[in-house]
Amino acid sequence: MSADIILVIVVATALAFDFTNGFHDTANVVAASISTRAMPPRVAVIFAAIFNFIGAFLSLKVAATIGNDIVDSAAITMTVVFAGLIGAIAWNLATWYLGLPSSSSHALIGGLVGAAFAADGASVISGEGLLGKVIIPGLVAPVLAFVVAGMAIITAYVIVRRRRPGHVNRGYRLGQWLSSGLLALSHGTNDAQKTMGIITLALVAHGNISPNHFYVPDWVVVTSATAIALGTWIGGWRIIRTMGSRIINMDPAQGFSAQGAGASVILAASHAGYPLSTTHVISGSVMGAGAAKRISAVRWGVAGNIAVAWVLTLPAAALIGGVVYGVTEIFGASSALGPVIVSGAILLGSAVLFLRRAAGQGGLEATA
Amino acid sequence: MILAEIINWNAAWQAVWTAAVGGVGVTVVFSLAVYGVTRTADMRREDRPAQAAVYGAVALVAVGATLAAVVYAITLITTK
Repeated sequence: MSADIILVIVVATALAFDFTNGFHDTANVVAASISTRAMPPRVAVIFAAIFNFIGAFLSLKVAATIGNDIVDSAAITMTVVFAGLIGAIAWNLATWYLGLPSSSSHALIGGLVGAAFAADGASVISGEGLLGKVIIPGLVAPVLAFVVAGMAIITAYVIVRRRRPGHVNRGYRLGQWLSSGLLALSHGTNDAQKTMGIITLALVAHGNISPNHFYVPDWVVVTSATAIALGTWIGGWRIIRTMGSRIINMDPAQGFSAQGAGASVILAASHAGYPLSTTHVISGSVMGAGAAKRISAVRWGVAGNIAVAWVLTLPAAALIGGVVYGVTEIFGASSALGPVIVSGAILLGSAVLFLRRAAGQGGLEATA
Repeated sequence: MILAEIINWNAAWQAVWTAAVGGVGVTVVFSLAVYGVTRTADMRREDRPAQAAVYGAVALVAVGATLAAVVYAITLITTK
């Protein structure tokens, strides 16, 4: 009975995490299409949500990496998965409140590794998988996206340099329907699979799936796809309301190149089973497309934020994951009481942070 | 030495070159489509139908290549 309750809590928490992932990342996926006026904002958001949903069905290799290659799935308990998720959510909440950069993907992996370490020691963590499939691909991918987008926009400018800008812009705006769909598709396939991997890991721990025959059940794929698509859709309305304040300046050719390069890197990585930070990749490609035109267009602050996020997120989420595991253990390894209390605490903490943030913004608006 | 053992270089290299070729390739062929369409319009305006047809064909082939590249990428990721 306790195990069933923990499983329900883990699945619900994982889907909530997936929803917030879509919610946060809508801006990355639709910004280029909206800023170049390739799509009206409402259409861009709906378009992204639909392609996020479809993308989640494309591949399961990233899910297999999360479930199989980072920690030993046979040694993982549901409490470990729960603690890992809470570690990721708590870190994301803290960084959101403090305005620090973070990566949901790195937080998720860090939380899982930290909780597994606290539970069973270093022996259940695959250093090989962590380094070879997460850390190194994660470091290389944004740089690759930067270079690919830069090369793409330079060749594009060479090809169309003597053409009328009005006609050229119309052409690339049309092309952005394709590149934007591809980017949303790639985002859906890489990010939704991380949640699928986590839920499947919990199902292995619960005994529903054998660790020797790892597979992702259909209902996990469908619910994860739905959660990320809903998050994208609902997150989009927030972006539409704040439009114009944080939008990237780029021409349609740059938008097409950035989206195409970002999608290409994420799809290639998903095919290889690498769980990337899609935010970092898309930021890299946007900067690459900007730098190729004008080096001062590079937002070094964003690049710095990515570096800070890299240094902080994995260890911090791991630490929180480990601590959360320790707290839940106080109530007994197989007891549902620990996860219930921790879930309640995180919900309460979230509500307090949201209210304090809202009050702070209200104060700022009042003084402005 | 340790890195060489940990990383599956074959898979990593494949991901890197696929991303590079895909990202740059799609932009190049689509740019050729934009070029073809704009040149076709220019040629029509200048009343040069033969050149307009050639540039129109370039645009058509380039659009086809762009769509084919996208379909191929999706097929690859779903089937392998």
